[in-house]
Amino acid sequence: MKFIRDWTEFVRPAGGSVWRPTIDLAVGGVKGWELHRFLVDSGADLSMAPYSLFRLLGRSWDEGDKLVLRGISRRKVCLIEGRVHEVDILVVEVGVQLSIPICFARGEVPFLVGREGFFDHFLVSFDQLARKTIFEFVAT
Amino acid sequence: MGKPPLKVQVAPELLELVGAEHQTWRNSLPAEELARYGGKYIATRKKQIVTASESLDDLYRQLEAQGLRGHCLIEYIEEPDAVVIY
Repeated sequence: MKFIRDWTEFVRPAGGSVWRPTIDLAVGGVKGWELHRFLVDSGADLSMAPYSLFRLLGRSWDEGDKLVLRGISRRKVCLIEGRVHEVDILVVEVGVQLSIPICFARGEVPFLVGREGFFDHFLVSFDQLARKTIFEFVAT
Repeated sequence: MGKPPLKVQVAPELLELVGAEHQTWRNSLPAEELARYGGKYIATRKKQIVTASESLDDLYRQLEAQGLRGHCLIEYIEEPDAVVIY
């Protein structure tokens, strides 16, 4: 099962824009599925989302594995606490439900889908020139 | 690794949100219009921006009030003055 997604345009501060690969994933919460746009980040080990999404799950924060997140800056004041929780997601285009680890962070962090859990089940190819991503479900 | 993947039935409304028509409309939104929503979450459906908010919690509340929870595509529009490197 294969599907193709166009990239999304992001506005740049100095004018113009940049196109990035995205996917819309439904996240399973206590009130059902909520569809969110995630950046597809093949360089990220884990998926990531902000705390406000975590609150949808109706779980205890402390049940997740603790992680300290660091961005570009190495300064300690820039460290953010995160918790990793297994979350049900739905890849709508192919009707596949997966359980993937997502690192939720206190603070505003981007919605990223990383390799662990997701790339285990999907072959992902980026076509920079055509600004498209090809996702192929691989039953393992 | 988590639970094995499951093949499930998908609600038509979710399929519509990821379908070509809605996605083409979303990707055709001009950069100038997107910039107006910089720093906000937006919720879209049926080729319209339904609501927007700086807070995801507040966006969910607004959607709840309109009976639209679970019926929209939600995304964050980066602030135009932020340089984002992923």
